[in-house]
Amino acid sequence: MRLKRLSEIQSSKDIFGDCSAISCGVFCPTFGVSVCAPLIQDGAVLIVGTPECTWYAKNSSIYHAIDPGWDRFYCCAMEEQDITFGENGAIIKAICDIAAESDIHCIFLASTCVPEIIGDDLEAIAKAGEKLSGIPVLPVRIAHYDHKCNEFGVAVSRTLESLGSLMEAQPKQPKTVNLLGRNFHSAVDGSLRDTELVKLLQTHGIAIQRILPDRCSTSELKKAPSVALNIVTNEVGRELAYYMEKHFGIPYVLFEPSFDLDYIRAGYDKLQKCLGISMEQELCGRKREAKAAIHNGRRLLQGKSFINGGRPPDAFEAAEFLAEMGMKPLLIHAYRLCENSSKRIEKILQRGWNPYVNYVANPEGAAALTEELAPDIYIGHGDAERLIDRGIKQIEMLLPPGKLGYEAIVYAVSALTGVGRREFI
Amino acid sequence: MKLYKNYPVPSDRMGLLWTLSGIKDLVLVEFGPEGTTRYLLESLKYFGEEANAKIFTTMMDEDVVIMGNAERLRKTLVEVDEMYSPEYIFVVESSVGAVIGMDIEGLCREFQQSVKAKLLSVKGGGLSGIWTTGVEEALSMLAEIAEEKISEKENYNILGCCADELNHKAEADAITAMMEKAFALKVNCILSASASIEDCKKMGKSALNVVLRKEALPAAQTLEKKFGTPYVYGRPYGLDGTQSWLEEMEEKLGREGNWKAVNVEMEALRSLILQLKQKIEHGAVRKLVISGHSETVKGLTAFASLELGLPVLYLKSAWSAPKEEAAVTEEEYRHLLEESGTFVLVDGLHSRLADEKRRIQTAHPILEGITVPQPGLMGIKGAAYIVRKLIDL
Repeated sequence: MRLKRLSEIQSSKDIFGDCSAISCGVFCPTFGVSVCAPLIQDGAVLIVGTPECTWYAKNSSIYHAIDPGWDRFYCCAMEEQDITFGENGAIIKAICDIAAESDIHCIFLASTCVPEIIGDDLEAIAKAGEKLSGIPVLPVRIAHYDHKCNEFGVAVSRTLESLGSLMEAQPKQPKTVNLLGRNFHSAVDGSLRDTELVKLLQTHGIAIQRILPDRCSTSELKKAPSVALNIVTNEVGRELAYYMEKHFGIPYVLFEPSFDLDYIRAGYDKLQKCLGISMEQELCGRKREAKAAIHNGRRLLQGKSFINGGRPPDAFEAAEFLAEMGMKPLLIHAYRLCENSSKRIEKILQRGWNPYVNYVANPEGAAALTEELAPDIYIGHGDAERLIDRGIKQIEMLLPPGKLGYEAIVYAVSALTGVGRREFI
Repeated sequence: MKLYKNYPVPSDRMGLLWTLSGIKDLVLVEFGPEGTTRYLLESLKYFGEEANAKIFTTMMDEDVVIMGNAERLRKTLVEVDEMYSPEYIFVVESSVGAVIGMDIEGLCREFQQSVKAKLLSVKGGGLSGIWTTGVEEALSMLAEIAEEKISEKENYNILGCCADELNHKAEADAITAMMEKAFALKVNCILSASASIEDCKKMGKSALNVVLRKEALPAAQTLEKKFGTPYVYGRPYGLDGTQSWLEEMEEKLGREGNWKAVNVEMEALRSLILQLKQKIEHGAVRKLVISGHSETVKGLTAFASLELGLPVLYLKSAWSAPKEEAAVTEEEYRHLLEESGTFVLVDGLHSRLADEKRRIQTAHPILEGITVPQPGLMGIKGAAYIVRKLIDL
């Protein structure tokens, strides 16, 4: 077995498949721009790259963007001479042609691997394009071979950060917040607007001004810095939060999806303090529910084994949460280590478990292992029919996008124990 | 560098991968970043397909891009060879590999001694041609695999039925049904929609190769040279088109087809066409707008103009090659849709602008709520489908 055990995972490089060959791979960063940028409804997107990269990016905007904006999504496809001699003003001309469309108020200019390798100066091109076209041009640098941009989430983060340059200082409106960051995994399964966090804030007179990324116009973006506070609801929103703090003095609170009772409590405490509200009564009730769910879950799930399929939140955090309920981790499909992963790994090991770790984008690498390990529950994408044939229960997702706060715990436990579906466990 | 509002023209590499992905037992290793392989698999999903081939990527990071380290490729090839024991491994260069100057041919020569499978390298990285060039290269490579020299010629192959064309499997079904009816011949290998490496090896056993697109001609010529197998190039669109296509088969096979069996369907189509012509005379159907792959456009245009007597306007497909001359602009197309009596046979992106009653989709993309299940457009049944839609306009 080539896979490492959890105890051997020291860095992201230790997470790989059962073979060097990757059978599927993660989504290219262009995917992140394709699903995120078209949400700015008077903005256009211009992707620069090989015909292949630009074709697939355009295709993603058609198939995956919630607000596809097909007709606002352009491609500059490089030919051989562009690679040899450089783009020679073609991108600036393209920017001007796009800007000539009257309803376009900004252009996202995204580069891919090849223009990044040959060193086209995207920032300079964006500046020159902006000057000539008269509308903002937002450079978004994405190259998939780059360790710092190795998946589409990073591209979402960079696209979001680029929005900062469209914003202008505003008089602050007390009791208003922005939510920064959104989970694009199966986004149809829930919205941030339906979360416990939003409902609680609204009950206490806090208005949600903007959710980013989400449908909005450039003029609405301009006013985004009028809020009292930014709440980072997914890690992809962190860079924009830092930018807005630096340029507009807006503080932020990290409140990302988590199964950690202490993290959730600490986040709510900061929110109450920053916004000058008290949600204590509701929070105590919510926390009680979450604790009860964990207690109930522990009773029903004790001794059940699982494979975790790497969906949000952090695979190691999810595994630690399940291990705390007495479940036995056999295999964790993970993408990389996050900032708290080491702590989570330590806790799982302390419980006496040392599961295999597979690279999440290489399911083929551990397909045979799934059958060999024969878990009670498989969490994540998988061959549903094959799992059923082998008597393995499957949950597609432990945490959909519309669950944030204590409700995430209640939801996950109920999904695992099959509340309302007693036959599940 | 060219600006595209619709799809850019897909690259040669994309055509090659879409074509090879249809072959069962074929193992393909890409030396490149992860994203393009994932995108390849996703694009097949949007074509309504799944990869039959086993497709892997090495991943490529800064170690490779800056230092040119090919060790990852060697390891991947060795592991894949051990795991699947394939006869061939197709090693495909990525655009990043091509730009940094990785010598994929040299690397394959170097690594050949470490693996049992025969390594076939594919250069280029998608920087120098359009997708049809890649389709041609893939089909030619597969034709080279054919090796079994059996004198008994008992079936036929369809060459050039690939995932880049909408509904390509339904088109192959139409062809196989006709060949069975007219000549009692079974199909051996549908390249590349329904074939395995083993089928490719046995291609020489066939009495005839049916070539559906010009990209498959070099493959057919290879097979003719190697095994003396004749081929027929063309697509059976419309009544006359299908008839002359079958006549050509007769000539190449050197025997008469079973026209009695075919004529029943042909007669039914003939009376449908008469019915349509009356509608055309009354002005209910006035003109057609056609877009899609060049040979689809050519075949459907001949059917519409020569057999039905309808004026045809050509519209550039959402991702057809740039050299094709567009007779109508996007704006004119929108105006045409407002006129009564206009019917369109167009790609997915243009289909969405026309209501369902006045459209047939000829090319990708498949779009939810727009693309509807439809039979292949080739052959007698395909023609009947088109005529019925026109009658209902």
